[in-house]
Amino acid sequence: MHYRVAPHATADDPRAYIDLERVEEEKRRECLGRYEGFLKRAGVLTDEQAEEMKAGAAEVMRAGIAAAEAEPPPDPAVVFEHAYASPPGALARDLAELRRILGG
Amino acid sequence: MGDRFLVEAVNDALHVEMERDADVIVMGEDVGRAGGVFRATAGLRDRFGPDRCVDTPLAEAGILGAAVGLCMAGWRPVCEMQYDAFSYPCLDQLITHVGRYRWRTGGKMAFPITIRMPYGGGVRAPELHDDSPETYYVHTPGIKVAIPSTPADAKGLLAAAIRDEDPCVVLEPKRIYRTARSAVPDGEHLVELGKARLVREGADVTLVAYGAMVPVCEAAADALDASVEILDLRSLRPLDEDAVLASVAKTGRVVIVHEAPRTVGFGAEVAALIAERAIYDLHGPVLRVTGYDVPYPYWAIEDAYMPSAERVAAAARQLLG
Repeated sequence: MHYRVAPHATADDPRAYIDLERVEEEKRRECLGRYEGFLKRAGVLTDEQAEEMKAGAAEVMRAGIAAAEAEPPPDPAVVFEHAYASPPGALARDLAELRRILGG
Repeated sequence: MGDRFLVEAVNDALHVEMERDADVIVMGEDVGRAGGVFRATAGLRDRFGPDRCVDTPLAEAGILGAAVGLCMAGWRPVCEMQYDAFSYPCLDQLITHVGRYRWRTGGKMAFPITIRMPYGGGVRAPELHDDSPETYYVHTPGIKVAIPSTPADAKGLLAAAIRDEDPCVVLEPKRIYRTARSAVPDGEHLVELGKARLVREGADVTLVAYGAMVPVCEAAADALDASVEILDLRSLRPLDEDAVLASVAKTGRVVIVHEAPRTVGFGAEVAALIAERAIYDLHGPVLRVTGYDVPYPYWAIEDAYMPSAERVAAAARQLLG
């Protein structure tokens, strides 16, 4: 059994189907947090190191999101790419027709 | 008769049919306590209890397999597949058992199962939440397939499917679940399977569509300087052949629109019907405007995949000359 730390989507209200107290209980037993505590108790990891790692990971994610959002709108050709190693001829005709309509 | 969104009409049909027939049970992922991810089954568990609105494990083959057994025990299961592409694991049960049992038992055993699912794209969803799988179902002998495009039809077709003695798949266009809102008859309401709906009468060209492509065709018709007829098939099997042929006889020009990929899509079946039975009525080729023969793309590019009013109008103009 595993528990999500957040709702499935913005439209989701987990209160309808899950015991929130149980979720809090499971958050305290969650494996990454337990492992962090284990490493700290063993003297392998310091609070500063843990914070540094978390901040670094968050920054990698922030940079990735920013780079993805800065991408220009994809070309319609993307729809037809990578479905086949050797695409059937109809796909090229479809793309040409789509370009004609989008262009007009 | 009050106004409802399409998904509210689905919910209404389930309430009415479960009230009417104590053998009807609803089963699926998150249908009970959560009320369904689109709220299609909201309120059923409170009204009819957890034995008639059953939260199942996340296992589509298991949902339909259990429904097969429930049918044998005299129940009338309505299975929800949470999304179109989540239904593929149930195809094994559907093809190898559900569609065959009446035939296999020499007509002694009925399988009045209804499988309903939100289908289609255009809602900015991730992969496997956007497919139009109607061909897999229509191509399976023994299975009926209905697809509403209005709230009233969503209620009436689902109710007819639940009461039908054959297994029925009802595909609900999620893109218009909560867009159009229109009048839905209160209480019991049936729309006969196999009767198309004439959306708009016209004389120059016929647009044949179903589901979320019907409003796309209406937008295309508005953009065309021609008298456009729009036929909403409502049911792919049984197919209202007479309605298709009557419209072809009138206009002689046909554009078939669906968002599923083109090859062996339902448009091919309609085109073949017209070729076999109405070829001398035609003033030009039968054209299809469809999704492309590729996996449904990610949402940033889905508008390029989805048949648009512009593509439909361009095809119609090609025929109108």
